[in-house]
Amino acid sequence: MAGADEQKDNTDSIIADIQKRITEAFDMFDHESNKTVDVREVGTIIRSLGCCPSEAELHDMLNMIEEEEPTGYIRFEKFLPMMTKVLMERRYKPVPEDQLLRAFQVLDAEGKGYLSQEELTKYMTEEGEPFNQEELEEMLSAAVDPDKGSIQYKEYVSIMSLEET
Amino acid sequence: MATAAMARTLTETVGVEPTLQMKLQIPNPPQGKSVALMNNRLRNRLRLDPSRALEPARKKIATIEAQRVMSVFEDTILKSEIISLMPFIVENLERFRISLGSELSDLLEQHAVILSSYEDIKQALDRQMKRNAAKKKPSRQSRSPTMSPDDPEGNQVLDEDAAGVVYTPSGTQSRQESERGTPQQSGSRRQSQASMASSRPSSSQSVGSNYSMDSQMERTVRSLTMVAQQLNTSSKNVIRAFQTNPSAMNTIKHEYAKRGYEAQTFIDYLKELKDILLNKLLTTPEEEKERMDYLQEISKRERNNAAIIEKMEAELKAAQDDKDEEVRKKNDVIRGLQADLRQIQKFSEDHIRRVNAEADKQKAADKKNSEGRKQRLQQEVTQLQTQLQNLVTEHRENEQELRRKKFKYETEVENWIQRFDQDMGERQDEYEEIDAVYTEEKKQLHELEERFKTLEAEYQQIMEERKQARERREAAERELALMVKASTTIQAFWRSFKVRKALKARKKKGGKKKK
Repeated sequence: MAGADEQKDNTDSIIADIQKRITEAFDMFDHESNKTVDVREVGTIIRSLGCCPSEAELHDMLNMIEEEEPTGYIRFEKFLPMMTKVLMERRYKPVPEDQLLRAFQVLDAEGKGYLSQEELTKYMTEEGEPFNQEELEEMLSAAVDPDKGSIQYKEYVSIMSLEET
Repeated sequence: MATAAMARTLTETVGVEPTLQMKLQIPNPPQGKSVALMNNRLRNRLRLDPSRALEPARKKIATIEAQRVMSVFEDTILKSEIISLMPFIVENLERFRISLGSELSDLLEQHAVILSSYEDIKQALDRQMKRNAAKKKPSRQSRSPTMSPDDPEGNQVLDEDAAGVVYTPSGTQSRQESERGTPQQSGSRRQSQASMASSRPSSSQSVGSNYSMDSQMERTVRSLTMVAQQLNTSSKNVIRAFQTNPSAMNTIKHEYAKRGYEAQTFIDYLKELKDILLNKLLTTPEEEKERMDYLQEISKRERNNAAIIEKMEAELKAAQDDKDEEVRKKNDVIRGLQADLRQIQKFSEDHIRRVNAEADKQKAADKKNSEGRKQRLQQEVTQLQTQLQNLVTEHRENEQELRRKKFKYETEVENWIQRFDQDMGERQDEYEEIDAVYTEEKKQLHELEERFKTLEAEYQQIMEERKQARERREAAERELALMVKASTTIQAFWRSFKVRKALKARKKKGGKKKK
């Protein structure tokens, strides 16, 4: 089977692969090509790399890599090791389908199998890390069953999970 | 052992003797025979008091004659007592002059003069008599036996008759008394009387032979008689004077002791005579006869008794002889036995000597042995004594130590006890105080508990309510948290989903563009 060297090589190759992916993602948003990105873009970069942290988690990560005097930009040198570590440790992975479903079931306190538009709006804007109006509309447009005028969250979850893979 | 047996037999033989002595005891003499001859009255009197049987039946003189006789006799004694004191009074006349009175003193002086003249005459007569006597000794000797006691009195009476004085019996007595009342002279007087009495017959006998001498003597005698008569009269006068003077009598009475010995004896005799006379006068002739009979009876009995005693004595002698004989026989036996005894003693002495020698030897050996043993034992004793001494000392010390310890412990214990008592007392007090407080507090506690119970019930209720409220809130919070989490999850998922969807779209375009 695979020896120690082989495993190490494997790991190194994985790291190289990851770093390559990070660099790609970073470069995509390095509009001035000076190895820096806007702070507001970092969340997008992280999410593009397959992670789905919450806003609070994202905020923590930004704190780690930010300059001592906030410039509004994040440098690649700092971003790379942090991101490498996160990816290596597979943190902030998207939750599996069943967990996502259960979260919807929690919101559906009466267990009727769906959420009304009002309910979803209320939860998404008042609880947790509230959506802004744009985000909410986007979600509603994607999630609301056009026939029933409500969110059949079971179907919606399976669609999203399907799309994710 | 033969000696012992012998000794026993010997004692047995000796033991018989007492019984023999018993046999030889003299039987009691027979009691006096009853006297049938005595008349009843006498016997009764005898029975009453034998010693008084001979006393007169009466105590007082019954007949007047007898009384007179007695009174005359008593008077005589009184007078003779006075007369006997006369010489003493005359000698000490000066001393008595006042108490006796002048009359009596004069009489006494007169009496003294007469007395002295009488003395002179009598002395002269005595001288003549001596001369006469020296000449006519033989004749006097021959006459002297004829003098009887009555003689002088008889002569005296004759003389007095001659003097022409009438004498009553009492007068005779008193005269005789007066004569004797001069003790210094009485002896010589009597002698002179005697000689007078004797001289008169003699004078009548031998008138012719000694005429000159006799005439002279006769003269002297006559003058003496006259003086005697004077003395007689003087004495009578003195006595009469005394009788009329009781105070003088009393004075004289104190001097009775001054009388001479002869006069005292004479008066004692007179008193005795008075008792006899009284006895005679008290006794009647019948009584006299009775008494005589009684005395005869007594004497007869006495004679009878004497005869009986004689007979008894003869018997006694015979019995004693018998006894002596028997004793002699017994003595023979004893002698024989004693000889035996002596022999036995000799044997036994030999035996004893032998035994003694053996015993001495044995004794010496034993003594030696015993001394050795004694010494050994003595040593042992000494050793043991020292040991004992040591042990005693040791034990004493031990004891002392233990005693000291004991004493210490005792005191300690006592102290502890005392302290304990004190402590306990204090604690008891404390306990009681605390108990009181405790009881009080318990009561309070009960009250408080009562109150507390109600409060607790209220509290429980409130708590229950609060708990329910909290649970509700917690549940709500939990739900909320779940919802938040769920929302966050959904939002995060949605955001990343959207980004990736956008990127995919861009990649497709970009990829196309890049390639």
